[in-house]
Amino acid sequence: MNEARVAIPSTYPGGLDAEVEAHFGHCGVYTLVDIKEGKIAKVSTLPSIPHQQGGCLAPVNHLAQNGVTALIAGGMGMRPLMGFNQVGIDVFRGTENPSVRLAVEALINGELQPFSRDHTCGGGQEHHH
Amino acid sequence: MIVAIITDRREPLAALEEGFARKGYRSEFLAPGPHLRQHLQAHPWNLVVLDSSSAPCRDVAEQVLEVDARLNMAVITDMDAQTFHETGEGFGFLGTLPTSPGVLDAERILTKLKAIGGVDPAIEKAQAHLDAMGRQHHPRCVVCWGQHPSGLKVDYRVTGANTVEGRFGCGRSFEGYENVIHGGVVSSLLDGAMANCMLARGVEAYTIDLQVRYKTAVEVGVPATIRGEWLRAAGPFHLLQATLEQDGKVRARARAKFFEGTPNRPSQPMPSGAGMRQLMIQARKRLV
Repeated sequence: MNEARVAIPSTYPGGLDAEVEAHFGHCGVYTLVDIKEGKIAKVSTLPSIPHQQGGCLAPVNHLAQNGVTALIAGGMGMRPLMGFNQVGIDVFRGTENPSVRLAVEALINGELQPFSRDHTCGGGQEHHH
Repeated sequence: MIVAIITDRREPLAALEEGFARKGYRSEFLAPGPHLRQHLQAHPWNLVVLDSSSAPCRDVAEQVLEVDARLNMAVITDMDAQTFHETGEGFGFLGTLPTSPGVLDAERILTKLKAIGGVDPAIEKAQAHLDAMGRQHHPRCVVCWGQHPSGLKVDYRVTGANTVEGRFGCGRSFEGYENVIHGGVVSSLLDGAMANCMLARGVEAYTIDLQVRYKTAVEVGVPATIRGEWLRAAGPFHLLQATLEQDGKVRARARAKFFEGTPNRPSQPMPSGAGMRQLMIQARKRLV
C-alpha cells in the first residue's frame, strides 16, 4: 500500500507504540497513520465516539468524515463492514500484531488480508469484537 | 418520512402502520423475494422493518444492507432476547417488535431510531409543517385528502430538506385514453407534489406557472412514485420541479413557479387581471 490514511483502533493514548484494540467500535482511541509512497508520513490520534444499539454506522461515518481510507480491525459485524465498503474504506484483518507500528508495517508490506463477509462475527447489539 | 415493512402479511400489522402514521411516517409494504432489492432502491427509507415470520431476518437484512448499510432496521419476531441477540449479531438491529405489534410499539421503535440520530431533525420539522399546513390550508384537497370520495388521495411525505414523495396506484378510474392515466390527473399529481414541498416549508403558495413534459404514457394499474423538489426562491416567488415515475422510469416531469400566500392566516385571495399579469412578469424576471 502506497497512499492511505489508515485508522487503527488502539489502546489509550494511541500512537505507533500503542496496542491494537480488538473492539473497533468501542476502542479508546483511533491512531491515524498517513502513508505516502509506502512510508509512514504522519501519525495522529482521533477520539472514538460513543454509540448505542442499532447505531453501529456511527463509527463508519466518524472515520469517513476524518478522511480515513483504510481500517485495520480484528472483528466486526456485517453491517459496519458493508458500511465501510460502501463509503470507500478498505478493511483489513490485523489484530495479531501487538502494536500499531507492526500492524501498519504489515499493511504496507501487503501482509494483511482484506476483511470479507466470511470473517464477520457479531458485535451483536452492543459491541464489536 | 417513509418506513418499509418487509412482510407478506399486511392485516396483522395495521396497528403498527397506524402507529407510524401518527408520528408522520407513511408505511410501505414490500414482499420479500427477488424484487425486494429493486423496491428498496426506489425510496429514501427512514426505517426498515423486517417481519421474521415472512422470511428469515438475517437473509433479508443482508439484502437491505447490500442496498444501503445506513438503513436502520427493526425486526418483528417472537424470539427471546438471547436468541435474538445471537441471530442478529453483527447486523446492528435497532430492536424487536412483537408478532402482533401495536401503536405503542411503533412509537417505541421510533424513539430508539431518534436516539441513534436516525431521524433528521430538519426532516422531522418539515414533516410537522406539512401535516399542520395541510390540515389548515387544504383539508379537502382533491389530490391529498385521504377521505375524498373521488380524489387522488396521495399521501406526500417529506424525504429530504427540500423534497417530498408520494405514491399513486394509477387505478382505472383515472384513465383517459385506454390504459393511460389522464394527462390532467398526471399534471395534478406533479403540481400536488410541488405544493406539498411548499407546505413542508411552512409556506402556503399558489401555482402561477406550470410546465408539464409528458415523456411517455403513464400506464393504468402500475403504481407511480411522484417526487417534488423545491429549488430556490426570489422574494415571494419559488421555483420547483417534480417527476412521476413508474417502474423506475420517469414518465412525466414538471417545473413550476409558486407565489407565496400568507402562512398561518386565512388564505390570501388570488390576484386577477392586471395583478396576475404583473405577478407573471415578476416571476419570469426573478426566477430564470
